[in-house]
Parts: sequence; C-alpha cells; structure tokens
Amino acid sequence: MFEYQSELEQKIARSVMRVEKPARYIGGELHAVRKPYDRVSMRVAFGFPDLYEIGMSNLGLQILYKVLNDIPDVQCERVYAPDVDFEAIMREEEIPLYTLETKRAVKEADIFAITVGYEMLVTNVLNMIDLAGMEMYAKDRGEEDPFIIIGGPCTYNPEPIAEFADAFSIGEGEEVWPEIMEKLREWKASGAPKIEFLKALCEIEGMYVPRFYEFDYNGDGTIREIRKLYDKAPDHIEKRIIRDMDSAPFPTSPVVPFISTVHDRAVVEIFRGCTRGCRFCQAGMIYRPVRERSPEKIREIVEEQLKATGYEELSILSLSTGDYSRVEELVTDLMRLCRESDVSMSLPSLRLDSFSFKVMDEIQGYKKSGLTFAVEAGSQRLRNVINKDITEEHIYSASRQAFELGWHSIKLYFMAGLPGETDEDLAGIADIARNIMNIYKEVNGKIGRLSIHVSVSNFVPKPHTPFQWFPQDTDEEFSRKHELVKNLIKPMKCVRLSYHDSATSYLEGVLARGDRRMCKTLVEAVRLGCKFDGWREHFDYEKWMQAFRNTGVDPDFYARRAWGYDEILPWDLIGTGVDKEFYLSENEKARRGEITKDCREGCQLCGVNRVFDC
Amino acid sequence: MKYLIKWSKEGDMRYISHLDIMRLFQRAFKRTGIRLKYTEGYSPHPKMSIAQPLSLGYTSRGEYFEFETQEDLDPEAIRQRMEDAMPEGIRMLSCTVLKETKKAAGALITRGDYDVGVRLAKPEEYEKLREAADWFLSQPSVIIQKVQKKSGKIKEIDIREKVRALEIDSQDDYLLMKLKVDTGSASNLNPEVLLQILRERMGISGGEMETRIERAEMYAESAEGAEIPLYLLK
Repeated sequence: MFEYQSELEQKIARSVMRVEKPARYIGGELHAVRKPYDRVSMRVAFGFPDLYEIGMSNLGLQILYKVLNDIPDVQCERVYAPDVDFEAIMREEEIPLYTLETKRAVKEADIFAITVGYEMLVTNVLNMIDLAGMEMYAKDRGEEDPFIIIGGPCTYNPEPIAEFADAFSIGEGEEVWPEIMEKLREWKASGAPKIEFLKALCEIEGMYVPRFYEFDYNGDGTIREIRKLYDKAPDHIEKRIIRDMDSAPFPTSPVVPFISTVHDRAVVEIFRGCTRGCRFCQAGMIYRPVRERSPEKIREIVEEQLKATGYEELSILSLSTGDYSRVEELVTDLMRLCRESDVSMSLPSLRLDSFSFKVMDEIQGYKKSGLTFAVEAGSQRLRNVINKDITEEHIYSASRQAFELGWHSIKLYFMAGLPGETDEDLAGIADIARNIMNIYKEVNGKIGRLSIHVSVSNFVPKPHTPFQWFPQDTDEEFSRKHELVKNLIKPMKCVRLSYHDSATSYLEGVLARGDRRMCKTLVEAVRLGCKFDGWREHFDYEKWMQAFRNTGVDPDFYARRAWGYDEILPWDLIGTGVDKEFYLSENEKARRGEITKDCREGCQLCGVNRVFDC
Repeated sequence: MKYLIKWSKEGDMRYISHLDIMRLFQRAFKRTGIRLKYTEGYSPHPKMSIAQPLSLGYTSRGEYFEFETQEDLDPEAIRQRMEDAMPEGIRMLSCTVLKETKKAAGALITRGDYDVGVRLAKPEEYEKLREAADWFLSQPSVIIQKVQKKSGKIKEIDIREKVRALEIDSQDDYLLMKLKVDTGSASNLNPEVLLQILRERMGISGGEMETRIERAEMYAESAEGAEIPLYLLK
C-alpha cells in the first residue's frame, strides 16, 4: 500500500492532499504520453507559466506536445506553475519542480521549454526556473543543467527575459521543434560542451541565442548598437511559420483533463493570421499571412477529436471566425456534425450578418447568450485612426435584428488611451450604449430585460505594431478616462461598465517594450515575492515599483516615452516578415486619420509576401 | 436497459474528485459511442450515478456505477468498451444487468469494507494502536459530536455501533486494519473518523500517522435479508 517509484513521488503523494485541487499536480490524464524509459533518449519538460487550468487550455502547448511525442525516442512532459499553496509546501519539503508525466525533476530533462503568451507571466517563468533548482541567469547555469528554450507570442520582444534563456524559438513551433531535437541528438552524441549546441541552434531559422548579441546604449538610454559576439549568429532572426495548414500537425487526441479547465472542450484551429490590419493589434501583425485550413481537413480533425476525447462541446479557433473564406459551408457542416453527435458548439467572433443570426439561433436556441461587438473606439474618426473596420450603422442594424429575434444582452468592447483619443471619443462610448438602449426600447416597448455590458480595456502599445512608438497613458490618465465614461453611463441602469486595472496595464506596457537592462529588475521583483502578476489577488504594484527603484531602471522610459522613428528598437533583431517601414507608414496614416483596406481587397505592401507566400 | 458496473480507482486516481469522476464517465461513454438515456425536462442529463461517493484521497476496488442505455447491449461488451476508454488507474471489473426498479442500487447499500494501511513514526506506537483498537472494540459505545451541515446543531453520534468488524494484520512495514463499517444513507462512517478516535486514544497527531485507505467492497441487503456484495444484486 505504501509503494512508490521514487522518493520524489513519495514526497508528492504526502503533500498533494494538503493543497487545493490535488489533481493539478498528478498527471495521468487520458492521452497523456508516457513512454518506457529505455525507449527515450531525449526528454523535454514543457512548461507553461500559469496554473494547470490555464495551461491545459492552451492549444499551442497541446500542438507541440504532439509534435515532440510523435518523435519515437523523445518524451515531452508537461509542467505548470504550482499555485502558491503547493509552492510553499514544495519549498518546505524540498520538492523540486517536476513533470506530470514521469514525476521526475525538470532539472533532469535535456530541455526545459517554456511558452510565454503574456507579459505578466514573466515572474512565473523565473519562479519556475528557481523551483526547478536552477539559476535564473543562463550564464550562471552549469553543464549539467537543461537548456532553457523560450517561445510563444511574447518572445517577439525577447529582450526583457533574454538573459534567462539559452535560446528563443521565434514564431510557430511545429516545424522548428523537430529540427531542435535533431541538433540535440547530434550534440548529445558528440559529447561537446553546451555552447556547441547553442552554436548549432544558430543554423536553424527562427532560433535566437541571446548570448551571441550585445547591446550598447547612448547617454540618453536609447540603443546605440547591437553587436554580434559570434560571427555565424544570424544578423536578423525571422519568425518561423507553417505554410500549409492542412499538412501541419494538429492534436486529434489532446490530453483530456480530469478537472475542469478554462477551455474544457474540443477545439480546432481554422486559420492563422488576420487581414484586417487594426493598428493596435499585435496578433494581426505577427501572425501574418493568413493561412486557412480546408473545411475537409477541419471536419476530419473534429470527427477524430470528438471520438478520442468524448468532449460535449466544440469550439473553433481563429482571430476572427467570420473572415474564414468558406465560413457558411464550414459552419453548416460542423453544426450538422455536432447535432448528430450530441455535442454543443460555440462560435466566437462571427460577423453579424443574416447567416450568423440563423446559426446562432440554432445553436443557442432558447438560451441566448450575449452578442459581442469589438467596437474599440467611440467615434468613426478614432476608429479610422486605429483602422478598425466597423461602423455604428452596422452595430445598430445588427442589434435591432438581434432584439427582434429575442436577444436581450449585448457586450461592447472598447479601449481607452488610444493614439489621438479625445474626451469626445470617450463620450461616444456612452452614446453608442444609449443608442442601442433606445433601439431595444423601440423593438420591445420598454427596457425590461435588456443588459448592455461595456468593457473598457487600456491600450498598451506593443512591439511589431504601427503604434510601437506611442507613449502609453499614465495610470492617472486611464483612471480619469474610466471616471468620465462611468459618469456618462451611470444614468443608464441597464448598462454595466467594467474596465481593466490601470496599474496592471502600465506594467504590461513597460514589459512589452523592455530591453535587456530590465532582466535584473525581473529577478529583483521575484526576490521581492512577485508572482502570478496577471491575477488581481496576487499582483503587487508597490513591489514592482520597488524592484525598479532597487535596480535603477526607470519604467516610464519604456512605457511613457514617445520613441523615435530612427531609434534602434530592442526587438529590431526579430522579424515578423512585416517591414518596419510599413509600421511607420501606418502610424503616419493613423495621424492623418486615413484607413488602410483589408488586404484581401488588394495587397497593402506590408512586406510579408517577400518572405512568406500570402 | 439498466446496468451496474463495478470499478476500481487505483494509484493517483485517488486524487480525482467525485464530480470529476462523473465527468470522466460521461466522456468515456461518449468515446465508446454507447448512448445513455436522458432525464426529461428543462435541462436533460444522462441517467447515471455513482454509488456512495468515495472521499478524495482513497483508492477503491469496490466502486459502483449505474446507468441506463438507449439500446440493450451485452454487459461484458459494455465493460470491455468502457475499460478501453478509461485512463490508467480506472478499471472496469464487472458489468451486470439491473432490474429497472425505481430505486437506485446505490441507495440499497448498507455496509462497506475498507482496508486501512497505517504507518507510524515509532515502532512502539504499533502496539499502542493495537491497544487503542482493543479499547475501542471493548466499549459499549463511543460518542462523538458532529455539527449538522444544514441546521448547525450539534448531534451526538455513536461510532462504536457503526463499526461491525475491525481486524489488524501485520505487514512488512505497516499495519493493515480491515474494517467493516456502516456505509449508506441510513448510517455511514468514514474510516477517517475512526482513525481520529484511535489517534486521540494513542495521543498522536495526524502528521505522525501515515495512512492509506482503500474501499474493498460495498454490500446491500438481498430480498432474503442476506448481506450481499452489490454486484450480486439482481
């Protein structure tokens, strides 16, 4: 009754009953891969720097888990950030960070891969490296330690975490990971020191080894020069992408969690990229060009996935479902399939036309959830500035149609702090809500069950976007704007307002455009106890500000400064395929209030088709 | 057709809660393609239930799960298909056909067998544990106070009468207590409550006693009044 595979397993067994949700820490889920030890020659611990429930919902990790485990002698194992209760016990009982598949220490793996999708996760990255029993700085780690390779959307500006990673994988990982494993195989056979593997990684497109580059700075703090320290390291690291979605690997037997997770359902990605060119949107730039999966392939994946998982719900994933070129055919087909197999379906981000109303009416029946509009800005003028292609006429006619069909709930997304924004634009947010309210009154005769939810997020300028040079609003300014909208909305009892925390947005802005000088600040923040910064209950702004003070780094330099067009940007080494000149011209057009058309209506010359086929 | 599956929960599966096991079964049925009957009404749900939820952290080789299917199927075929659809550590031991009575099989349960492995920090404490068990068995009643969940009132409960048998076996490096206790909606005892009483008698804390609890079997009364394991229920 008391048998354990290892001392570590025994410690884990004794500890997990003392924490909330022990199932987070034990693995053993359906389709989790565990290969016999003697068949495995390379082990990758794949880390996600947030709780199990969040990490298990991440499609990217499920894809790479499959890609790596499809290589016969590679064992890929998952590791998530332990919650604070378990972390305390791990430190007390000296339980190192371990993987769910084999319950062996992360430190024993060949590679500790970490995916970072959000700036506020960086302290968790460092905390996990520390929990694994390793030094945070790559230069301090020894020959026995695993290589730390970081990827994910956040690494399009890798510099704030550059000194912690041995290498970064820039862009989509499906093709690059098998190449990394081949280099690892060769290196392991050679018996050479670790540095030789890092040199070999430079031969793989999309790999960035930060220790081979050095940054020099001007007196005013801007970057003077980026110098290469290894002559064979690439001058420019272009992202990797999958060219053909139909032949790209996709998990049809994903790991099915026991406990309920954020996205606890079958999911199929229908396309990558977006053609709309919203100027604030990093995803719209870094995932270019658009690549669609065929309806036939999508159907095949869905059928296999439902059969293998038993999920009762299916969701389709992309940046905007409605832009899929054969959306009606696809959705009609998937709805039929779901109906036949007693599976419910959720369809995010449909364009609100007559077809989608028919679809939504069918899949939601009498339980109508809310309609959502990402309006982003309160006036047509400002929507032109940010190149958001939605008109009030469309919102109003779609709302009217929805109310006539029996909808009672509308959600509107806006941003505060956009370039060129005035108080009139913010007042426009309340006007739009009021107009929708009046339409409801016209349709139903009274306000009755109407509920309008206005959500205002704070604009954070991101690297690799036309607004990458823009100074972010101060948190006082954000708060003033929230108050302004709040007061205008207050008289309307059917409208609920929510907005993002200004301090969090500020820090997100600082980290988004940070450089290598910020690494020491992150270490200090972790030392002061910062972790789970994306969680309101854990985020401690004062500790962060103390970390900046203690390390002599000025956060305003990164978030609140108007960056110059001629400056070397910390992320200039990294390429998305889009030209810097395109961002610049888009920013200038924004200033003039000119729009740029959806590139399906004609090429807008962003440059991506010189590197990748559109 | 109504069926009863006897199943086991082994190893790390002991950390999976009752609610999560319910979802696991539901998805497993979907994977096998066996269609369950649904309840009528506003929000229909599949007709299935797990008898006598097991505490988190316990393993079991005597769990039961009953359900109704849309088509009549061979019970052994169901057992095999469900076994194939389950992750490691959840095994389908048998499947039998139940009469379609109103009452759930789980509601007929009266007793349960448990194996309780006990490891103690000091060797001399094993003797103390035996003494505590002897003391417990020699008492006419052992009363504990329990706060009622709904009313918040304190109720006195006699634990002694709920323990039908208690035997102790020595194993290599631990003691194995074999318990037969009241299990079911009429009278129920969680083995952990008994362990707490024994620890108090021994004067040690929970941290000084490592335990492993496994449910071995559950019983119901047959029409003839005999105590039979649930899988023999017709």
